[in-house]
Amino acid sequence: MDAEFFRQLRVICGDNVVTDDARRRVFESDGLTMKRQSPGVVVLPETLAELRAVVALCHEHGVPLVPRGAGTGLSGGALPLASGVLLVMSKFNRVLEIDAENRLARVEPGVTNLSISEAVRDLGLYYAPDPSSQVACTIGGNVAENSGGVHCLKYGLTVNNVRQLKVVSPEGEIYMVGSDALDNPGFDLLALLHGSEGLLGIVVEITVALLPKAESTRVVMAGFDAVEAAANCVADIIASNILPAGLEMMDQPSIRAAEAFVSAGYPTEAAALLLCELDGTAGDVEAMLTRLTACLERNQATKIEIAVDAGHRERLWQGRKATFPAVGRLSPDYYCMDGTIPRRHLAAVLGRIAELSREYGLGVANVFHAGDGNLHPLILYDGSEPEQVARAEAFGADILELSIEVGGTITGEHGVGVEKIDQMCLQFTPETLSVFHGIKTAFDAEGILNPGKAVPTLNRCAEFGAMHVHRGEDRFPHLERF
Amino acid sequence: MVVLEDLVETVEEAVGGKTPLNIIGGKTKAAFANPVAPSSDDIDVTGFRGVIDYAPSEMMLRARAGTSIEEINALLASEGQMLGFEPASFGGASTLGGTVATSWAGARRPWGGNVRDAVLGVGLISVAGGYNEFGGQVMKNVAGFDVARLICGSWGALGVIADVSLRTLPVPEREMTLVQPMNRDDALSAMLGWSNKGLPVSGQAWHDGCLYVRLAGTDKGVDAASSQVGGDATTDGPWQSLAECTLFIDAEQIWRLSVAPASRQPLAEAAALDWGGARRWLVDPPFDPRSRYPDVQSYLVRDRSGRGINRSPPLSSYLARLHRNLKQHFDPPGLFNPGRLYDDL
Ligand SMILES: Cc1cc2nc3c(=O)[nH]c(=O)nc-3n(C[C@H](O)[C@H](O)[C@H](O)COP(=O)(O)OP(=O)(O)OC[C@H]3O[C@@H](n4cnc5c(N)ncnc54)[C@H](O)[C@@H]3O)c2cc1C
Repeated sequence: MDAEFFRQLRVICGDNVVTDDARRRVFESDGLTMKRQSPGVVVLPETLAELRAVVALCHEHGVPLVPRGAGTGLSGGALPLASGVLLVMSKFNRVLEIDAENRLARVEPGVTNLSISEAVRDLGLYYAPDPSSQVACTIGGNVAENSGGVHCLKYGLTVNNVRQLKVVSPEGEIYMVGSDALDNPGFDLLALLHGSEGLLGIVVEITVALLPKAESTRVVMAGFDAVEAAANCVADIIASNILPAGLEMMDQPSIRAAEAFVSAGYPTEAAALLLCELDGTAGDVEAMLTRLTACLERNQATKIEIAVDAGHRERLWQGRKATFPAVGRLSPDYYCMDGTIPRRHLAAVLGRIAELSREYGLGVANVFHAGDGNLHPLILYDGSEPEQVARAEAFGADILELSIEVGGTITGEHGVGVEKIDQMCLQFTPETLSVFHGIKTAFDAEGILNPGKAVPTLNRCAEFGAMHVHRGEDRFPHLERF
Repeated sequence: MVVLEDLVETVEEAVGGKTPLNIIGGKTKAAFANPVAPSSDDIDVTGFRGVIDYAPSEMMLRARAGTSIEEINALLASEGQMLGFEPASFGGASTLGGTVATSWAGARRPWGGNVRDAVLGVGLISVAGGYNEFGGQVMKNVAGFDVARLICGSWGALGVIADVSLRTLPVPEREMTLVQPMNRDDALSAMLGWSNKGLPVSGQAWHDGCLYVRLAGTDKGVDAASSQVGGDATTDGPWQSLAECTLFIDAEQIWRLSVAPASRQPLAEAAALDWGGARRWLVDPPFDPRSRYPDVQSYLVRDRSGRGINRSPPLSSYLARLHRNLKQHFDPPGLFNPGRLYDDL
């Protein structure tokens, strides 16, 4: 980035080029606050023409670009580069078109997740994926991370709810992927772009599918004396062929933190709690509710509470949605993990996490999308003590490896970013990683888009392998192999 | 019994001899696409079969590519489950690998999701790296690029699909099809109205002056919805015949157009509509659908005209370039199903 580069940036974006230290530092981290790096320069383009020109300029000068939405990502995907451009998408914040008949909304990437549902509420429609960060996170970030939410058990992740993307290539060219129809010819590039963490293209427009609001919604809370009983109950609900809109679980530390924070009416003596939402037509929901309560009873739920109205429903969800900030009050910092495991290992994995918590001397609170086996252990630590940070990271890495061991994955919805890049070497073979490199090259041969994130180089893996001292071949011998 | 090593070996031999490969499953959908270059050797995947893992409480099934859809459907049904995209079994011949490679979904598609929406992982044999697993067996997984979904609809151009992991769904307690006479325009409006009101629909089609609506849910839910929809119960909905393209026996050309459901283009010319209006069928149209409707994806699923028209709609130039780049990585010598999808893939 030489003086000429900066001069040209200013010609394109004027005052929306941020170079002074204090204002750049605002962007030094995303939701993964453990990692910080002040960006070389911050650019906030206002129009597509400006954005394309910035991208083309970077391409010409070989300057790397890191796209950023709201910066709520939890894996450091939007961590800046010291000698790169941080491309902030916040000025692309318009809902462009709402097509009620086809149930589609065309929006810009900087629009927040929640504001899409708000924009179509009067039409009786909504956008289904609902990450807990939905007031703040952007739909562009959701696409880049393939974000989920509490309703994705039934309604899918971002990838299942987006129809079309307008993308700017690393050369600054515009292309469309997908359409407002259901079938598209060729390879499924629309799916490929989801979860690609800004490595393949810059998303500048998104057409999302909208759903009609369900006629009826019921929420049930159930407390259990043992985590195992709650885990078995989750398996039983699914095996009973009930498909809840959401099925969430919290352990005692999370229950207590949430209850102290928002008074949701949770049973603080319970070892685990399930929140289950059913939706559909009134007839369907009534019938499922009968089956669900039978299932909870036969799995020894100690307390069952069925929300009687919308306010009650809201209150029960409030606790779950406030768990992260509630846990945040227990400890100066928390570190949120994101492994997904086959649900049958739930009890064993939670048991092992509790053991690790004692070994590392750091508290942990669990809250997760139980229906789809996506765990969010929150490791409690104090970020002002470097030694604790290191311990928290090591604890986290162990949880990631545990997820791989039982046949799961290191990330269900938060992405790899910089955070889990070393564990990618454990989850994937060098051959598979080479396929990923090939895909990156197919889209971005010069590697200017978000370099160093999401997919490790084989060299990095070799170094990590040498460093990574395995404590014996079988790290978790007491767990059944997948 | 074919084992994975046999398939990998066949691919390696082809690479060594630079012989193109024609990947064969149940041969139920080959006629819906371009022929593979005639100089190719066959690689038959149907012998590589069997369910690897099925855990109803995990909502996950993993099977080898040669496993028949019929076998999978029967196994799932025995546990009260199904695949959301309602794969057609084509009389028992259709395989899992072929279904995924062609992304061939049935009547439930707009409500139950596409093939790729159910795909959690694949094992793929490519030229570049032998056999590799992508995705996995869990419901949510964002580690690495989504190759498992990328190959859905690739018609074999990126490699041989060896196994697939799928997400399953509960079978609705009850399903019923209602039929009533209606003209095309009214039928489309009715379909849109019910879909947009959130009725528990699992199929909507119009054909031959009749509107067909399939409802799915609990007994209570279906009863309530059926009184809103009206019409007579029938066991004779066009669901399977549309999914298997057997509705228009004598047609020389059958076109399948993928549109936004409320679209008016084409409507008056359509011999049938399904997917709640999102799919339009044209039979021997006296015009070229691709020139008349340049913004619509028009698939030519049957062509007895011998004019060699490409069956898949054309890609924009940038997408075509990305396809070539990806092909170049997965299959540098261009050995897998050359010409099946496009001339240059
Ligand atoms: C309290 C809290 C709760 C959360 N709950 C959930 C949850 O329930 N489910 C869940 O899935 N996640 C959750 N998250 C994580 C986070 O909110 C999501 O990953 C979200 O999608 C990130 O959006 P963002 O706009 O903040 O993106 P950023 O953090 O700014 O960026 C994320 C990634 O996307 C890339 N990117 C951003 N915009 C674009 C674009 N236009 N084109 C290309 N690439 C782009 C960036 O380079 C980066 O790699 C939570 C986070 C917090 C802090």
